Amino acid sequence: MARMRFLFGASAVVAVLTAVMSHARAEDLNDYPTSARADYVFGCMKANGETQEVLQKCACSIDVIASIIPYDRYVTTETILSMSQVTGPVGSEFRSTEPARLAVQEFRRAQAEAEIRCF
Amino acid sequence: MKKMLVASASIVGLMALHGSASRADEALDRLAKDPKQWVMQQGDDANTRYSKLNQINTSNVKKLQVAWTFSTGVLRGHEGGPLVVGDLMYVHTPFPNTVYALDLNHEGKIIWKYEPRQDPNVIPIMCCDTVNRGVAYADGKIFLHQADTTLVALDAKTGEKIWSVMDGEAGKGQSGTDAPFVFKDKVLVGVSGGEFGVRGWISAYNIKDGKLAWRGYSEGPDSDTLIDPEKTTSLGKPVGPNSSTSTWEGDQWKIGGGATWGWYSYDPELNLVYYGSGNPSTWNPVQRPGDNRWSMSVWARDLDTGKVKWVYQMTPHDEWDYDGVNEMILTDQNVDGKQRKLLTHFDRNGFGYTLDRVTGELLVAQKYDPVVNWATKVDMDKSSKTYGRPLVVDAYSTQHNGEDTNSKGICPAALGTKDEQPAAYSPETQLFYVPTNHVCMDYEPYKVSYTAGQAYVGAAVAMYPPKGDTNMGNFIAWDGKTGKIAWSNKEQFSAWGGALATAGGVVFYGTLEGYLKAVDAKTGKELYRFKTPSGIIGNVMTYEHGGKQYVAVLSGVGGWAGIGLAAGLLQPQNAAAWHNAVDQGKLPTQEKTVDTAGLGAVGGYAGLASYTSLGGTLTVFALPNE
Repeated sequence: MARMRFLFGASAVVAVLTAVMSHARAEDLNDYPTSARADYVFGCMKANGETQEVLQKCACSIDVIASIIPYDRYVTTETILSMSQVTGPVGSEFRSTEPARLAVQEFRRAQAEAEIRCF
Repeated sequence: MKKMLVASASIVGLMALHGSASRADEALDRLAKDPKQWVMQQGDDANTRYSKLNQINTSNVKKLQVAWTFSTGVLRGHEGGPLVVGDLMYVHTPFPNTVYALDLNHEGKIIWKYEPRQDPNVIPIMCCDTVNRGVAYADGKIFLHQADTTLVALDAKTGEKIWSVMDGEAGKGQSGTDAPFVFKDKVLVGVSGGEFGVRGWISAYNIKDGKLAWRGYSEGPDSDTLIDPEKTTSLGKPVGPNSSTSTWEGDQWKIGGGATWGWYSYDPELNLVYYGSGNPSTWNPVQRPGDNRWSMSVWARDLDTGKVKWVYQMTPHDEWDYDGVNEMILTDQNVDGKQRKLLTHFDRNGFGYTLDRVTGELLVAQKYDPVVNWATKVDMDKSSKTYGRPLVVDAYSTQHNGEDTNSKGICPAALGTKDEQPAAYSPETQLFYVPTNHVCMDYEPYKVSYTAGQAYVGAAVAMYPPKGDTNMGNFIAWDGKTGKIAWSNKEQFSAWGGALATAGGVVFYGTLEGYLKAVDAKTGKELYRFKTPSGIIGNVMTYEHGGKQYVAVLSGVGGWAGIGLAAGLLQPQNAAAWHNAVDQGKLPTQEKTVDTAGLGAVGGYAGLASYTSLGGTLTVFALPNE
C-alpha cells in the first residue's frame, strides 16, 4: 500500500512537470514506466546538479527522449551503457560492436534534441 | 588391556568417521530429491537445473509478482544463484565474496553475514569481472570458493568458520570464480587463470576437515594428470604414456592453461565426476605447436582417487579461445531403442556434444547455432584418421593465417556460442534449454612472453553480430539425441543467464536487459517477463516455502546505466573512473571512502554508492494470494 502511494506520487510529479513543459505530448508518456523516467532524472541530476531547475530540465529531457525513442530502444541503450562498463569479453561485445554504436548514436541524437528544447 | 582399549577406540573412531561421512552424503541426496529445497547450484548432481515443482505453470505464470527483494550491497557481475536449505536461503556476492544467510520465515531477515578479508590485488588478475558462481552446502556446512582461491567451510547455522584451505596462489595469476561442488564426502574446486598462463587443475578436499584428497592437472606428466596410460581411454582407445606432455613443445605445458571454472556433475553409480578444461595458453596458437592436451577436453574422473576413466579433446590446438569448461549435463535417454547413460555438453566452439558417459564414446556432435563456421563438422567416421576431430576451415584458422594476420568473420566469437551460463534439461520434453551467444569475430594473434602473474593473452579480438543479423543471442531448445534445434527465440543480446526447467511446463531465464522471462517448454512462446533492476547473468532457481512456490534470480551486471545515459560515459576511461567512484567491490574498511577524484566536470557521486549497489539484487517471484 505504501508502495502504491509512492508510485502515485511519482506519476503526479511527472504529470505536473509535463503540464509545465509543453513540448512532450500526453500520448508519449505511456510507453515509459515511471521508474525508468525517475532513474534517468536521478542520474541527470547527479551529473548536472541537484537543484529544482535541473530537475525540471532533466524531466523535460527524458520526456523529449520518450517522444522520439520507443521504450524498447531505450532499454537497449541502457543495457549497452551498463554492459560496456563490464570488464572482459562480455563488455567488449557492447563497447565495440556496430549495433551498440548505432543504438547509442540514436539515443545521443534524441538527447541532443532534448538539450536544445529543455536546457 | 590398555592396548586393547586404545585399539578398539580407534576402530570405533574410524567407524564413526566413516559412518558420519556416508550419513552426510545420504542427507544431501535426500535434500536434493526434495523439490521444495534447492540445495546445490545446479539443482542436482546431474546438472539438469530441473525442478519438479508445478504450482507455477503455463496458464498462471503470467500472474507472477515480485514477492520480495534483497540488495547484496555489491556492484559488479552476479553469476550463480542462491541455495535454499530448510528455512534458510544462502546468497553470495562477487568480490569481496560476502555470504548472507536469510531467514525465509521472517521475510528474508539476515541471520548471519560472512565477509572474508582478501587482498584486493586479486581483482586485476580476474580476466572477466570479479564474479563468483555461488556456494555449496553439505553436512551442516556452507562452502565458499573465494577469489583468492581460498576454500572455506562455514557453519550453516551461524556462519562461523570451521576450516579453510588455500587452493592456489593469486600471485601467479590463479583465482577462484567457480562454485565448490559437493559429491559424496568430498568438495571439489577448480581454478581460473587461463589468460595468465595458469596450468589448470581440479582439487578434491574432504568435507569433514578440509584435507586434500587428490589433485588432477589438465596438463603435465601422467603422475600430475592422474592419467593411466593403459586404463584411461579417449574415444575408446588407451591414451598411451605421456599423452599430455607429448603434445606440447618443450615444457610449455607448465604454463599451458586448461582452467577448470565450469559446472561439474557426478554419477553416483559410476562414481565418476565430469567437467571440462579451458583454453590452452596463450591465445596465440602459432606459439604453442601441437594438440595441447588436455586443454579443451571433457574429463571423467573417479571421485575417490581422481584417476581418469576417459577424456575427450573437443578442440585440439585451440586457435580461437573456445574454452571447454561449460557444464556437462547427465541424462538417461533412449537412443536407437536402447536406454543409455548420456552426457550432453554445449561447447564454446559451437558444437553440442552427446557422449556415452560410461565409456566416453562420441554419439552426437552438431552445431547448435547454424552460423558456426570455423569447422565444417566433427568427423564421426570411426575408421578415419581424424575421427572425433573438428574439420577446420583454413580461412578461419588463425594458425593457418598466422601471427599478426587478422582472420575475419569467424563464428562464434571467443566468448563462444555459449559461455558458462548453464543450460537446463526437462525429462518431460526430453529437451535441453540453452541460453546462447550469436556473435562472430576478427582474431589477430601476436607473440607474447610469459611473466608469472601477468596477463598472457596474445590476440586482439573484435566482435559483432553475424552478417545480416542484428540479434546477438538466442534462447534455444535442443534435442541431444539427434543434435537438432527444436525451437529458437531471438535475443537482442547474448543470453548470459542460466536456465531453469520446471514440471509446470515453464522454462525461466534472465537477459542482459534485466528481464526475467518465462517461456513455454514445448514451444518457446513467451508467457511472462519482468524487468529487474539490472542485467541478469545469474541462474534462475525455484523452491517452495510455506506451501508456496517461489522463483528467484540474482541481477546485477556491474554498471548502472544512469550516469552513462545522462552524462556520456561510454568512453572506457570515463567508465573506469566512474567505476572507481561507486564500486563497492573493495575491502569493508574502504566502503565509505568513495573517491570522486578525477571525475572532472561530472562530480557529486558520493551519494550514488547506495543507489547503484542495487546493481546486485535478488528478486524473488511468486503468484499472488488467491
